[in-house]
Amino acid sequence: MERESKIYEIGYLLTPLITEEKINEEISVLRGLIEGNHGFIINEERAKMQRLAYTIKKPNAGSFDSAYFGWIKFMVASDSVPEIKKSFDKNQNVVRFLITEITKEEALRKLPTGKFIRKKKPVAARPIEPKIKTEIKTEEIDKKLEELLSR
Amino acid sequence: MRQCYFCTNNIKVIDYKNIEILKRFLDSFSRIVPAKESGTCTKHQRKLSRAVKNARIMALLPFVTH
Repeated sequence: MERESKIYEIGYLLTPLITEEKINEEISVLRGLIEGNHGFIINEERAKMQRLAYTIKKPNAGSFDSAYFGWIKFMVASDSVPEIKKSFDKNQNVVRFLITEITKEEALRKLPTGKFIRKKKPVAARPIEPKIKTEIKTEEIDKKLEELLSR
Repeated sequence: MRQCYFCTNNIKVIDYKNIEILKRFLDSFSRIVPAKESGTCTKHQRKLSRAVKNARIMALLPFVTH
């Protein structure tokens, strides 16, 4: 039985052992995991190196103080989610990940939601004063320099 | 009585990735400030606590600060 598709977001932490050049390859692997389970990717933010709030210890992999954090928003049938979860679990480069269900409006937003926006006060139009260019003669500069040096 | 921050700024979704906002609702030990103190309404306090907990899981926020 086919279930209704829902929109999900997966936030992931990739190991800092991957070099900056190879990070795009690793992200495409993760995208492949989602698309392999009939997921449709809507929105995405590339993983960026980030300091972690605490050190994460992983058995057989060591402990991490920093990691690449990124997220992918995608649409998939709800019964495929456990399989996506399993495939992410198997991936050795993923330190940690979190799948959350999100709304349609959230999916299309690029920026993190709830950003504090201060209303701008309308600035009264100020008359723009034309800048007066004054030519400075080299002789004057020399004079000034001499004055300064003689002090 | 203080007004709810999320209601006054018309913020409907509280994202766990937006740690700058979440940090306002944590005390010096990184504990979630009770709604009584922050003035957050019940609906948003629930969403906020979920977001903070998710951020902690992803190591974006600490569980404790000594």
